[in-house]
Amino acid sequence: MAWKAPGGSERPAPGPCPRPRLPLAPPADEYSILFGTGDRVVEMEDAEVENLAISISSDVDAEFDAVIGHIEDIIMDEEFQVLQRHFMDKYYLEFENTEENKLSYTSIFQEYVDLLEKYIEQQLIERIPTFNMATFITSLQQHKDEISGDIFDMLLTFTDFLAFKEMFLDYRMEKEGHGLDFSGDLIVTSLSKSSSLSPASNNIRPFQ
Amino acid sequence: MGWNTKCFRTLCCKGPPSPRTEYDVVCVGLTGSGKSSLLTQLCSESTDSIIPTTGFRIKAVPFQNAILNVKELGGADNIRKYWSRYYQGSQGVVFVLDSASSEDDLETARNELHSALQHPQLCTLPFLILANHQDKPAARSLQEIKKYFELEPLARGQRWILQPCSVENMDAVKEGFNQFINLLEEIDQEHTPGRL
Repeated sequence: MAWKAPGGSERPAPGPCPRPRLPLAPPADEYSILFGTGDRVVEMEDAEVENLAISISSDVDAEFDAVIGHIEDIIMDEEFQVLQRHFMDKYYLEFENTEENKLSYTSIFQEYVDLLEKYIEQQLIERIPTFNMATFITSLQQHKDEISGDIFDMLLTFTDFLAFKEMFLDYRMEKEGHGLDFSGDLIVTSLSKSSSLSPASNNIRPFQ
Repeated sequence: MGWNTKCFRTLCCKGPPSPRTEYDVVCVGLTGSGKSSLLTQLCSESTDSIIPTTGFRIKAVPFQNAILNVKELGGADNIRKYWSRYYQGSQGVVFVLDSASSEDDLETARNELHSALQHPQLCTLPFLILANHQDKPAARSLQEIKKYFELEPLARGQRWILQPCSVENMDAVKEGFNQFINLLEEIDQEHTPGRL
């Protein structure tokens, strides 16, 4: 795994107010205990345990949401964008859309992770001093359906080589105009046979 | 390094996804031993345009009971030194050799196999050794290969399967892989006792 956990305290910092999130719905009779008058003592104890479980789960979820929020900010920031673009510009020509992968892809992948994933990690620690990458990665697996596609795709490029390669291939296609080279297709031809005629008479302005 | 291929792999036999277990394996062997050809054939793709691999490939090869995410590495002299960079995360090793190669090449293959068997990242993993090119007249027999490669003394305590085969006989190849998958399943169960 490319992720490395920074040193730091194990205890998560208290986050913002937990976003209401329904856990697996408890059976109907327990629900009535949670919200009802609850004069059945035995069931009240179950409800308390249930409450505690929900509140712990909400804290973890809130923390995860906070990290995702920060990651969104970090990757939208100009500094990250420049860092990433500079890296992609350096290497995109190396990548070809073939099944076979060059050995160089591996070292570029490693450099990418070392540069960009570390940058994100450092930025996260600045914002959340007790941030723990390993804990976050575990949460990521559990919450992947809730994260926006863009964020998840970006994070995937740090651990999945094929996602990383796809990112470079997409970048190359973008840079090269979808791989089509039009420069040979557009030819400006003078309508006049003689080259001494002034451009104005042909209504053609010369290329500046 | 992560080479999790679950999200972006191209499953070469396009069928409905079924919940088969996936295993990550690395495939090595000298150049010309037939790695690319065998894997391509296992995916029912054409082997017409195969040229020596100069880098590496990642292919998801489906079998009845499992899917093997195979990282196949080129085997030329100048590439072999990079093999170990790709061992991390492997659960098994597929080693392909040309049973009909020259004495020198056979010796090189033996050295490479021994290095792999003893490599710290591979020495606890099961090995599928494919003695390929059995269809050629110069091909050494199963017994000769076993003896020459000193599998019995050297690979003692390790789990290995030696399967003679050729691209003309894909049944033998599949048989080898199915046994290999059984080994991978056994090891999986050993590591996770009581898992549902």
